[in-house]
Amino acid sequence: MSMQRIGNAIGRAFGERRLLLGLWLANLVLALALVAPLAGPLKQKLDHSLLARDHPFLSGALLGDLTRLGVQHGSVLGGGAALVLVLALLLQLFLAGGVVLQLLGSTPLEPALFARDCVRLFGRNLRLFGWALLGLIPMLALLGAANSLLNKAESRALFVAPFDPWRNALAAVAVVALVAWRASFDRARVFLVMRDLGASRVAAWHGLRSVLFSPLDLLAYLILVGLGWLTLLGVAWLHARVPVRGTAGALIALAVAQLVIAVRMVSAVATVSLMVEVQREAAKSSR
Amino acid sequence: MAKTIAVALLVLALLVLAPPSQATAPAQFDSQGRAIGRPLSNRVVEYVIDARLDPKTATLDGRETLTWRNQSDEPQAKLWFHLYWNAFKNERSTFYREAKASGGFRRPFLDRKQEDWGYSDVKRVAVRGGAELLPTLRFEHPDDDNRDDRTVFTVTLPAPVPAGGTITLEIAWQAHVPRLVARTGRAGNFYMLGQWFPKIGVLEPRAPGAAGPTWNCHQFHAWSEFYADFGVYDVRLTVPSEMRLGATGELVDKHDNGDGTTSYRHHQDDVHDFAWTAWKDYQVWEERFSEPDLPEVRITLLLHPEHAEARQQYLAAIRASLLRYGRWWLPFPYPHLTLVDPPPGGEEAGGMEYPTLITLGASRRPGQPRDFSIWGVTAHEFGHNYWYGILASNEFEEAWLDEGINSYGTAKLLLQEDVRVSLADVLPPPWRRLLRPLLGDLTFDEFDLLALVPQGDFDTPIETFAWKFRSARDYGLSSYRRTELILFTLERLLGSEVMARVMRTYAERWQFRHPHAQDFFAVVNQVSGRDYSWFFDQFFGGTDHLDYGVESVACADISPDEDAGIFDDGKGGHRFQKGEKKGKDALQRCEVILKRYGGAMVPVEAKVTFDDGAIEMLSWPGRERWRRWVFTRSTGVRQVELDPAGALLLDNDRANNSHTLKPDGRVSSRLLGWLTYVSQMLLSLCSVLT
Repeated sequence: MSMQRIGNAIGRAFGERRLLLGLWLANLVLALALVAPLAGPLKQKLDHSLLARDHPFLSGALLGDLTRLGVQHGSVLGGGAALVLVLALLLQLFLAGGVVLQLLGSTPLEPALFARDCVRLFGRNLRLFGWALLGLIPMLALLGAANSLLNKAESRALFVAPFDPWRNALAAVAVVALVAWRASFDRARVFLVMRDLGASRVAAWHGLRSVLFSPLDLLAYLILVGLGWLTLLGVAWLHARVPVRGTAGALIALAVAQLVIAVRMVSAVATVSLMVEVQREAAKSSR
Repeated sequence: MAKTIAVALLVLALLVLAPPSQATAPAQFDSQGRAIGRPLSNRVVEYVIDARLDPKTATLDGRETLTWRNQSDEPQAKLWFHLYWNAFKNERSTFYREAKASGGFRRPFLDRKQEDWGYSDVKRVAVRGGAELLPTLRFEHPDDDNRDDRTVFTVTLPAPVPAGGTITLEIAWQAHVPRLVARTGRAGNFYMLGQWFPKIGVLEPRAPGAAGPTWNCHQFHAWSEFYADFGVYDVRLTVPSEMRLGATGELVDKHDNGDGTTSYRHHQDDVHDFAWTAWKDYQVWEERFSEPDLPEVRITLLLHPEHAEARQQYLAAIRASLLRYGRWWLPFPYPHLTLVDPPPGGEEAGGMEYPTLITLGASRRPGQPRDFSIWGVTAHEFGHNYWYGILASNEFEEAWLDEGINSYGTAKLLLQEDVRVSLADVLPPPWRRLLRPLLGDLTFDEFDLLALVPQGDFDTPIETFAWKFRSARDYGLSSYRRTELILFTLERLLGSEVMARVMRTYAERWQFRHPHAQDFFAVVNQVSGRDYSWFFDQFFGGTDHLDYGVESVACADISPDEDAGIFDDGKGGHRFQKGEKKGKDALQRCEVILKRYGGAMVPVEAKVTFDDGAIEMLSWPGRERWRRWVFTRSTGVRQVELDPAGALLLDNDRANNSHTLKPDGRVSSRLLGWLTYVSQMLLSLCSVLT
């Protein structure tokens, strides 16, 4: 049953080509907005310089030279990146309502309708995120406490391996906890839209409870997330293999990079799609 | 007769030109740790120590007989001693105060339990067969106003030790072994004991800048290391029989006492410190280093059982170090070397050097084929046996003479052995295999890492006492990486062959003695045949940063007929010229401006390449802020490379060291593409949260 759901979710995600295209475009535009301010200074600094021209890309030597360059402009770069990341978080919340409604429906994406849904549900999604964070904070606090206990048990010396069995176990627990939280958040989003609820607190609580009491659904979600990341690593490996010796190579690498991003998009849409199906079945059985 | 003179001159020339390493016979010791032939050092001290460790109470009871020679030309009535472990006695020690002010020394120990603190109590000091000196014991604080520091004490003799005379003292002390801190102490049943006995300071007969003999006996500071005189150590250690023990020097006797304890006696001539370790779970591996042109060295590796995968790499790294350092600088003179691999929980003991004993560090799953940490630490700690051990520099006052020179030597070895940092190696093995393909060839060698060393203006000159740096970071950066970078720059200025001779001459000239910075500088000047004081003054004594750059390159067409106006015609009249450009006869007038952006000044060279492939080298003493060169040629300038040989590794901004007339966007476009991808990944990862 779970495997069928996973297959359905992936199939549905691949079927939403317009949605995927829209999400990819949003991602690309924001990324370009993040990088664009650097283009001028970088070109000014590097285009007349022989620095890094003979280094393979990406190499330790190149990174060494560029890191030193970056350190000199670190505060500007850091400030700009932080601003765009905040905007990215807001954009994700803005798009969430439209994505869920699209997956609940069965018609091809209509951009105007999608945008209207995004606007209409933005406030609720923002509030829901606030409530969901309340669930995330204690979880992070617990993980942080476990981490500091591990730190205390060890001497912080030069050669402490960053990943001993305890730390691996903690990392595994952290991953499962984060995925569970994320599943509850997705479930709450779907619930919020399906019921057209104004009370986002109720949706957040429903999402959390549903995930905790439906281990099979959580397992399916975990498998789907795992599949997504494995595929992403595979395509990222392909990207790392692209030889970049000039501008043409850079463009090819950037094109392959878009595949990596596309995989991530499909994975994100598929997980929401899974929660749509799960929530639908839950609604049916409760009737 | 003429033939005889010619042969004599030839022999003389061969003697003069022969590499110094062939002129000096390597030092040798017998299997009892005793030097063969005349003493290799001036042997100011002779310690005979008998100490017993009780792990149940973490106490150490010791007695030592110290014979000290007054090598100055003035009588000495007051003797100065270190009592290092009192740094860990309470929060009032200078060590603790400095550590606390800098945010903790490697680990904060605010939450320590009573048994975690350590101390040494001197129970008895007496002249052998003579006066009791304990009533004269006074704690001193020569470096600060901290009256509560107990790491330095003096005793006053009833009669001074005459110039050239000796005195023998009997000292008894009791110590509580601290929890591991600053590379000494215990972790569970693991013991690594350094700086553990009352140790006499160094009376410098002629310290730089001092009128007469002065005692050099500093308090224990949070980020300083040590300084001591050479001598003879004969140490008997008694520990529970189940413990395995490793120590400085040669094991000359082992005796089961029949009461559950075993005594081990170690002896070593011509060292200036003694350290030891004891732990019941060590795996003991014995190996031999043997090369035709180098003395044999027996290697004892005390290994934690969980670090079995690291064993071969430890041994390969130490063999490479013995071989390369032995050929580059001096054959390692001692016949035995102990490598200590601390267990998990005892990592604080790792990465430390003592004469003929070094402590290392490894993770359970080291990187393959050459783990940077294992190779780097092994080569570095062993290198200290040269720059702190055989050349006993003063680490309190001139830490760079050990740490910096050693970092330079370590880097050279790692480069020769092609040991690189791999980002994947910090991950656990399953992830390592999974993610390594993503990182591809993204590895870093020593030069790549050096590029990450922050430059800019520094807070403190390198030639600064260790505890007078602004912070631990300031001390660490200056004493290690900054010095390493300076020495690599010096190597490129001198040439690698001359630098190799500098290092070898310095090592040979100052082995078993106490060199100071000026001694190193003098060797550089002498071997290179040039005065590099300007270099040392700026980079060891100053804080300015180095940054030269090509500020601008501009070319324009010119023609003799191009200029408009009225000109003399050479016949007493005038000629009007309209000012028309004649393409074929046009010349290029190119202007190149080099600029000194930083405060530091060095002579620089620049290579100007013209469009027709011609090359012109520019030399600039680099003292002015800027300098302009103008070229009028048939072809224009294609590019200007400042410091084309890449000698100025200290240069703060290498991007401005070259300028091409035509832009080339390949690097920036590749970089922008990669940054776009990274940004896209970051943005898509935001969706994990929202």
